[in-house]
Amino acid sequence: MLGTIIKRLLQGIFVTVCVIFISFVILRMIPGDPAKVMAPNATEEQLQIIRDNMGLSKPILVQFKMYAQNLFHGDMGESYFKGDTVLNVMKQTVPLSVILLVTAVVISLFLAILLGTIAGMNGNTWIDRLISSIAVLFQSMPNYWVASMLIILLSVQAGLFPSMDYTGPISCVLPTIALVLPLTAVLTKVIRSSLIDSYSQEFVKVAYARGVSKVAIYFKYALRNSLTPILISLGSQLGFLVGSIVVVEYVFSFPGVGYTVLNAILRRDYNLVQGIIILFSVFFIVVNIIIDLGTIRLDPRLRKAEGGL
Amino acid sequence: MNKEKKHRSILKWIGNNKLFSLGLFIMLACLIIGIFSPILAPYDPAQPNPGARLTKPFTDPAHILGTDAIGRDILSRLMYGMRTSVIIGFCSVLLAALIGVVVGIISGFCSPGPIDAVLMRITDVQMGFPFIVLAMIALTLFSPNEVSVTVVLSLALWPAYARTARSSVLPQKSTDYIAAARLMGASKWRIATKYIGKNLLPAMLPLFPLDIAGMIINESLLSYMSLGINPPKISLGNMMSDARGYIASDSWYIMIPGIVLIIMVLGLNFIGDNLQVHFDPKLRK
Amino acid sequence: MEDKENVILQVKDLRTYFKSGPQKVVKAVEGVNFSLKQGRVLGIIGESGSGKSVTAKSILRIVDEPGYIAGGEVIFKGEDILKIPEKKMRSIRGNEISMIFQDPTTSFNPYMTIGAQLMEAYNSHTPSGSEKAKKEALRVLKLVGISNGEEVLKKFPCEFSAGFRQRIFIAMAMILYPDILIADEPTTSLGITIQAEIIEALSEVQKQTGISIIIITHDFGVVSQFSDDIFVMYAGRCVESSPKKELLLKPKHPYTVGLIRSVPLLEARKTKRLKSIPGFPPDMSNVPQGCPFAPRCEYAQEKCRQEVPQLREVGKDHMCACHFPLDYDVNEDTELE
Repeated sequence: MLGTIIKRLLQGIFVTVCVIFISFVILRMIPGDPAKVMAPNATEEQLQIIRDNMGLSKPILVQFKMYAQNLFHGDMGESYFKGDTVLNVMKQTVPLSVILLVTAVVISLFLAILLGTIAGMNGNTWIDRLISSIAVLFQSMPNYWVASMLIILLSVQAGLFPSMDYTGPISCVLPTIALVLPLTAVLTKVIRSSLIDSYSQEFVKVAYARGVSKVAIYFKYALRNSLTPILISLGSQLGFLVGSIVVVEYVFSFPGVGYTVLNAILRRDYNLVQGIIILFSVFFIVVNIIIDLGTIRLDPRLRKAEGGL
Repeated sequence: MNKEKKHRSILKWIGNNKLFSLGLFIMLACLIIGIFSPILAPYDPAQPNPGARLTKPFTDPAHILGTDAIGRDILSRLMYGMRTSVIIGFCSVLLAALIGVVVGIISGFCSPGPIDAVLMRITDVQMGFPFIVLAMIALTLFSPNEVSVTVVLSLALWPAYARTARSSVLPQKSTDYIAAARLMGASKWRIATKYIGKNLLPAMLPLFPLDIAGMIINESLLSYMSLGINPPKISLGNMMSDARGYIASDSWYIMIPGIVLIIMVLGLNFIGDNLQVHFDPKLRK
Repeated sequence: MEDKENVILQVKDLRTYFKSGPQKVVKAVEGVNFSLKQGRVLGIIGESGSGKSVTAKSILRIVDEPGYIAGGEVIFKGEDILKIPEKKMRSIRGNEISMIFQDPTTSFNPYMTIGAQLMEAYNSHTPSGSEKAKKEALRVLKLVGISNGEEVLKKFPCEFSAGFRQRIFIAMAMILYPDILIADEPTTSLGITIQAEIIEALSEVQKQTGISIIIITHDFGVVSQFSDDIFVMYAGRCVESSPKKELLLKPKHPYTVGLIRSVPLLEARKTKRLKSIPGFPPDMSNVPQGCPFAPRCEYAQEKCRQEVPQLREVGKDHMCACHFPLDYDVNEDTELE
C-alpha cells in the first residue's frame, strides 16, 4: 500500500509539473500584451519598463524558472488588476467555492442515496421509473440553464433569494441548488443500479438465509458494496463539477474562484489565471489520488492485489 | 445467422425499446433540422426587425417562437443554433474517438513497454486539466470559432477513448484464441482489427451518443460564457447568453433555447442508456 | 414412521411454483413429502432442475422472485413454519435451521472480515457483545478443524481458498448450534479432494454435535458416503425414499435404478459397465401427463402415461411412487457383474 501511495504521489507530482509548465507556456503565447492592457495610454518606453518589471521580455524558459522558484516559496506573483498577491486573492475566493462544492456534494450524496435506494429497492415499479426518468431529465439539463430557471422561479417570481452578487450566506443557496440537481441525478442512477446489482449477489441471499435483518443487509451488504461505484462516479464527475462551479458562479456573479478566473482570463491577468489553474489541477489530481487509494482501501480484494493493508 | 435475419432482429429490438426509438427519432429530427436549417428556416436568422422586438412566443403567427431583443426570428435562430450543436457535437466526438482509439490500440499492443508508458502519461497529463481549465486557456489562445471549439472539446475527450480502447485490447492479448490465431499465422494487424469489431465497438458504441450529448452541453456552456461560438455566429449557448439580460422581464427568452437543448440531449441520452444496457449484460434485468 | 417423537422436521405436500408469465406457472416442487429424524442425515438426490434446491429454500422461505410457496406444510417443532409471521421466521433462519450453499466464493460478503461475518451470524440472533461472539466463533472454527482461528478472523474472504471458505461457512452455519443444517450442494463447486475434506468436516460436525442434516446433491457418491436416509427427487416430485442401505441395494423405482446404474463410484457393487438413463429430464414448464418419468422409463406401461403414481409404502420405511415397483437387487444385476 505504501508503495502504491508513493507511486501515485510521484505520478501526481509529475502530472502537476507538466500542467504548470504547459499552462505557463500557453498563457505566454496568448495574443495581447498585458502591459498594454494594464496601461493603455502609456508610451512605448513606459510599456517597456512595465514589461521589464514583470519579467516579460526575458526568454520563456527563464521566466518559467523564475516562476517555479517563486512558486516553491508560495509566491505566485501579483494579480495586475486586483492589486493584491495571487495568494491573497485566492484566500478570499477559494473558501466560498469550497463551501459551495462541499455542501453540494454532501447534499447530493444524501439525496442520491435516498432516491437511489427508493428506486433500487423498488426495481421496475412505477416509482423506480419515475425517479429514473427525473434523473435522466436533470442529467440532460445544462447547469447554467438550471441556474437561470432557479433565478426566474425563486428569485424573480418568488423573491426568496438574491440572484446576483454575494450578500451573505443566503447567496449560496441558489448556486448550491444549481450544483446539486444535476449531480444528484447522476449519483442516483449509479446508486440505483449498484444496489440492484448488490441485491442480486449470492452473499446477500446467503445473509438473508442466516437470518440477518433487512436493515443490516441494506447497510452492511448492499450499501457497503455500492460505496466503490459511488466513489468512482464521484471521481469521474469531478471535472464536470469544477466546470459547473465556474459556470454557476458566472451565472450568479458569485465571487468564488470560478468567477474570478473567468474575469482574469478576459483581462489577461496572467499570474492570477496561472495560479488558479495550478490550484484547480492540484485539487483535481489530489482528489483523484484520494479516490484511487480510497477504492483500494475499501475493497479487500484490491487491497490484497496491491500488497496488504 | 444470415444478414436479413440479423437486420430483422435489430429492427425488432428497436421496436421493443420505446425510449430508444424516441431517442433515435429525436436525433434524426435534430440532424435533419440542423443540416437543412438554411432551407428550413423561415427567416434570415441575422435579419433584425426593429418593429417586432421581444415578441412573445405563440402570439404572432409570423414568428411562432417569437423574436429576440433586436427582432430576429427565434425559430430560425434555433434551427441555426441546432446546426452548430449537431456539427460540433458529432465532429468533436468523432475526432476524439479517432485519436483515442489509435493511441489506445497502439498503447495496448505495446504494453508493457516505453511507448505504452509515454502514451499513458500523456493521457494522465491531459486528464490532469479539468475540461473547463483546458477550454479556458486554449480558447483564449486561439480565437474561439467552430474549429477551435471542436478541437478543444475533442482534446478533453480523447483520453477517455484511449483508456477504453487500451483496456479492451489488453485482456485480449493473453487469451487463448489470440494465441491460436497467432499460431495460424494471423498478423498482428489482422488481430488488432478483429478486436475492434469484437470488443471495442460494444464498449464504445454506447459512449458515442452519451458523449455527443455531453459535448453539445459543453459547447453551449462555452458559448454561454463567451468562450465558444460568439455572435454574429449562432449557437444555443450564445442565444441564452443574449437572454441573460432579459431574465427578469422576458424569462421565456432563456427558456426556449434551453428546452430545445434539453430535448436534443435527452434524446441522445435515451439512445446511449439503452445501448449501454444492451451491451452490458450485468445491467440487463 | 412409528416413532413420531423422533421426527424433527416434516414436510407435507410442499408445492413451490414459479410465475413464468401471465397465467403461466412452472411447478418446480409439486407435492413433496419427507421427514427428517433427530440426529439423522437425510440425502436429497436428483438431477439439476429436479427441484431439490427449491425444496430447501422453501423450508427456509427464501425462494427468489418470481417463485412462491403455493401450498403444503413444513412442520418444525410441532409448528407449521410456512404459516408463522416473517419476523418469527427470521428468528428461525440461521438460528434453528441454517443453510450452507453451493459456491463458497460468492457466499461471503467480500467487504467484511471473516470475524465480522461470524460474529454477525452469532449476534443477529443472540445479541451478546463481541467478546462472547468472538469466543463462540473461535470454538466453532475449531469444530470444523481450523485451529488458527485468531488469525482467520482478522482476514477477508478473498484471502482463502474455496475449500477453506466452505469450511468457514460450515462453521458460520453451526455457530448457533441449530437443530437442522441444510447443505445445498456443498461440494459441487469444489475439486474432488476438497469435496472429500468437506464431507469429512461435515460428518465430524455431525458426530460431535448430533445435529440433523439435510444434504442436497446430485452426486450418489456423496449420499452413499454421508447419509442415513435417502430421498430421490424427479421433476419436482418425491420418487422414492428409504434408509440408505435399502435404497442403494434394493431400489424400487426405475429412476433410482437408473441413477444407481449410471454411477461409477459406489461401494455397493463392482461396476464393469455403466448405463445412462436415456432421454432428458422433462421441461418443467411442460411436464407430461401421468408419471413424469414415463417417457424415459423402459418399463412404462399405459397406466404410467395416464395416472400420476402416488407415494406408497413398499417395504419397511421404504416409500416409492411407482405403479410397478421393480424387484431389483444391485448384487444380482447380471449386467453389472
